[in-house]
Amino acid sequence: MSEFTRILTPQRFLASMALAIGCVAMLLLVSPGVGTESGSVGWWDAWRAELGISISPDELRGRPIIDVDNDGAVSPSEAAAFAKLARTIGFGQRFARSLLALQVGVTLGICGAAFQILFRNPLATPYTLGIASGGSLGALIAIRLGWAVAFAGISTVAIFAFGGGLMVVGAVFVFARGTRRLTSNELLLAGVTLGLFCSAMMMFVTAVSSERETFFMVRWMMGSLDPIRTIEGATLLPLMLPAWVALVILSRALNQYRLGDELAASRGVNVATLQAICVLVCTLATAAVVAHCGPIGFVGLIVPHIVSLAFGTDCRLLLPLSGLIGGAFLIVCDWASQLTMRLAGWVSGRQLGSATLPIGVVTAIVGVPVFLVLLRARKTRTVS
Amino acid sequence: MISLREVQFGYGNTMFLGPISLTVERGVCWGIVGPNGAGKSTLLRLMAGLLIPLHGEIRVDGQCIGNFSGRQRAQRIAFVPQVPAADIDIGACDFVLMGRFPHHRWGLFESSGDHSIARATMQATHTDVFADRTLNMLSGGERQRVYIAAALCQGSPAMLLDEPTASLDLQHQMEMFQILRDAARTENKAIVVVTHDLNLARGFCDQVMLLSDGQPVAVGPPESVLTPEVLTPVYRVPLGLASVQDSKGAWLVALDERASNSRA
Repeated sequence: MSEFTRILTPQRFLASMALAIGCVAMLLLVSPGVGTESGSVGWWDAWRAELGISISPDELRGRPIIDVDNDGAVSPSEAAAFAKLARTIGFGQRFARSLLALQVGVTLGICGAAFQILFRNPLATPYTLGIASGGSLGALIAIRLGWAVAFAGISTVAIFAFGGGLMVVGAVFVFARGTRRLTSNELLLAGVTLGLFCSAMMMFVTAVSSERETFFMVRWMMGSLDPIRTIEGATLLPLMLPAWVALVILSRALNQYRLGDELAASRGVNVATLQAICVLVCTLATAAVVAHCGPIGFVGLIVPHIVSLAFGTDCRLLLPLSGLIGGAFLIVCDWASQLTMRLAGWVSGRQLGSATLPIGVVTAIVGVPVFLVLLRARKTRTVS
Repeated sequence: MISLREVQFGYGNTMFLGPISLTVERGVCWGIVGPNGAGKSTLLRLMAGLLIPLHGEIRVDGQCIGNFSGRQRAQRIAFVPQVPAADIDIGACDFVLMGRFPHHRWGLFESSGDHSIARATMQATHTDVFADRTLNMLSGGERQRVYIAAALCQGSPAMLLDEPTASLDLQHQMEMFQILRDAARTENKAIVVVTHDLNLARGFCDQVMLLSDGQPVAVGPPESVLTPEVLTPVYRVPLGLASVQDSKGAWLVALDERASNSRA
C-alpha cells in the first residue's frame, strides 16, 4: 500500500510553519532598514543601536549625514547621535510600521481563509458581509463631523469605523434571520446590498464635505498603515488575537465542516456554534483592522488561495499559513508602497518627497493579476 | 444499541413520520426500504441524532440520545450521508483518517494508532489504491467507498448508511454489503442501511423495515417483508419472484404492467 503522503503529520506541520515563520522573521529583521525616512540607516545599524552595541566612528566615515561639523571626520559624539537616529528611524518608525503590517496581514489572511471555508465560497472574505463599507461610512461620518480627537489613545475615526463595521454586519444577520445556513445566498445578498447602501451614503457624506475633508476621506479609503505609533499597534492586538487563537484551535473542526454540515454534525461538531464563534472573532478582528488602517483589499482573498495551492487545503496548515504569508505579503507591499515613490522620484529626477503610495493600491496591483491567474487555474483544479 | 419508542417527526403540527418503535441490536444488519418520500432518510437522521424527534424517545446504550455530547454520540454512531459532498480536494487517506475525529478532544494531530486504523480500514475496503488521490479525482462510486471506509474508521459500534450502494457497480455493491455484514458479524456492529435495492436488502439484511408514507408497513426478516404480496401495494407496481440459479432464494422483479394487462 502506498504511504499516506498527503496526511499532515506534526513533522510536516512544523516544517511548513518554520518556513513561514522564518520568512516573517527575516522580513522583520531587515525591516528597520527599509523605508522612506531620510537618513542612511541600515538595518544592521538600527539593530546594533537598539541592542546597545556601539558603532565605532571609523565605520561611519563617508556616510553623508553624519558629519555635522563638516570636518571630514566622525567624532564619537556624532557616532552616538547617529545611533540615536538609527534607533528612532529603524525601530520607532520602520520596524513599528512593519509590525503593524504583520499584524494586519495575519488577521486579513487568516480571516479570509476562515470565511472562504465558512461560506464554502472561494470569493468570500470578511469584507463580503459589509465590514469594509460599514467601517468606511463610519470613518467618513467621523471625519465630516470633525471629531478627530483621540480617546484613550484611539482616534474617534477608528472608533466610528469599528462601530460602523459591526453595525452593518449585525444588520446583515438581522435581515438574513431565518436563514439557518451560513452559506445561504440571503446572507451574502444582504451583505452585498447593505454594502452598496453604505457606498451610496459614503458618496452622500463626501458630497456635503469640504475639500479638505474630502481629501482625508479619500486617503482613508485607500487604506494606510501610516498611523504607526506602537501604542495603536498594541491596542489592535486584543481584538485580533482571539481570531488567531480560536481559528487555529478550531482548525480540526473546520476540516470536518468542509465535508458538509451533516457529516460534521454526525462526527460531533456543533456546526452552528462553530460558525457563530468563527464569524464573531473574524468580524471583531477585521473591524479593528478596518478601523485603524482602512479597507485593505485582496490580502484576505488571494493569500488563502496561494497557500492552498502550495500547501494543500488542510485547515490546520491553511489557517496559520494564510496568516503568516498574509503578514509577510503586507510587509512587502508596504515596502513597495514606500519605495515606488522614491523610485519614481529617482527616475523622473524630481523630488517627490517621502510620500507613500496607498497600501490598498499596492495590494490591488499585486493582487488582481495573481487572482486572475488563479481563476484560470481553477478551471483545472478546484480550490477551497 | 439504538432503540426508538413511539418516535414521531414532522414540521409544525403535521407529522409525516411515525409513530415508529424499533430496536436495533448489535450484530444485526437492518435494512430500511420504501418508495421515495417514505421517510427513510428522515428516520436514519433521527437515529443518528441529526434530527430531534417531536414526540417519542430515542435511546442509545440505554441513555437518551440527547444526553450525549456530539462527540460522545459520534463515538457510538457513525453516519454516512446520502450524497457525498463532492469536489473537495482532500486526500482519500486524509478523509478516512478524519473519521477518527470523535476520539480526540484536543490536539491538532492524529496519533500513530489512528494512522494504523485508517490504513487497515482502507486495506479491508480495498480503497487503499486511491489513498493518494483527492476526493474530487475519484469517481462517484470510488468516493462512496471512501466514505464508507471513513465511517468504518470512526470505529463506532453502530453504523447508519444512507443509500451506500447508490452509485456502485454490481461487483462493488456486493462487496460493500459483504463488508457491512462482516462488520455486523465479526465486529458485532449494529448496521442500518437505507436502500432502494430490494434484492440486496433481501440478500444481505437480517431484518428489514418497509416504510410507506412515514408509516412502518412491515417489519421482520427479509423473506417475510420483501415479498410481492407486501411490496406490490406499497410500490404500486406488480412484482413477482423469479427463482435464480445459484442463489439462496428468489429474485424480486417488476412485472410489466401493460404486458400483463394486454394478456388479461
